[in-house]
Amino acid sequence: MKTRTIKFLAVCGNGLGSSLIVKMILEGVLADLNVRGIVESTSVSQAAGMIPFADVIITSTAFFKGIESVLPKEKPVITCQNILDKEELTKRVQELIKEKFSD
Amino acid sequence: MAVTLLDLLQENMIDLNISVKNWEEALQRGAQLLIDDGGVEPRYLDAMLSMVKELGPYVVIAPGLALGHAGHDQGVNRTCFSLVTLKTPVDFGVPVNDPVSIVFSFAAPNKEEHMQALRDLALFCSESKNLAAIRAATRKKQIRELLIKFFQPK
Repeated sequence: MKTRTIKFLAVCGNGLGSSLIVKMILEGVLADLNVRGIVESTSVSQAAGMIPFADVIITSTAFFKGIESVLPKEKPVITCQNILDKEELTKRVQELIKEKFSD
Repeated sequence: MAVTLLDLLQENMIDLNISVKNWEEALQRGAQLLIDDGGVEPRYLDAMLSMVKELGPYVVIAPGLALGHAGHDQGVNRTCFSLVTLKTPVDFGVPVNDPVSIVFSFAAPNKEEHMQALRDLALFCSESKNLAAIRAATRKKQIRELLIKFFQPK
């Protein structure tokens, strides 16, 4: 699809639960789509230092409100209503790549 | 060897069809199983509840499904998982995913040790027929049988 590696940062409350699940599922999605990407997961308290190095922030819809204020406005964000739904995530990633990362 | 969900979710870590008044009580019942088994200190529950109050109901990860947890430094003795199902579903305040009737809770002492069990949970719960079977279960043994059938098919 494209050659540059996309850096994703999955964020949740303490970096142990939903962000790790998002990381697992997203890694599968990227492999299926043949997209080169790195996925890191982190807690909201540690996210601020990592956000500048990420191309895309990914989080659950329920959690987005909790981190919205710390995100730079121009930073692409993917939010998932159902973080277990691989199809939903695949669709979001495809849309994002089409919109922001296609050459 | 990696600790699996099948290893951790023994019958004593399961409570089915319980009646609760609200989401706090639902999380409390899940955490109580972790506390009773010695996996976490009682303060783990307080941390779980205060994180939701502070950061929002992010524990709701899918329709009808919550995953309660707090940080690894909140009185965690070892990796542990529990499951409660609710007789009457309760709202957590996430309109697209409310009401919740299945609550998994877990604790992890670091970022690695619970990875296999969490991966198992994500895989198991991504199939809606498994969620329906969890909701329908009335005996703990049925949950064990479901997990065994899914993770150790003959």
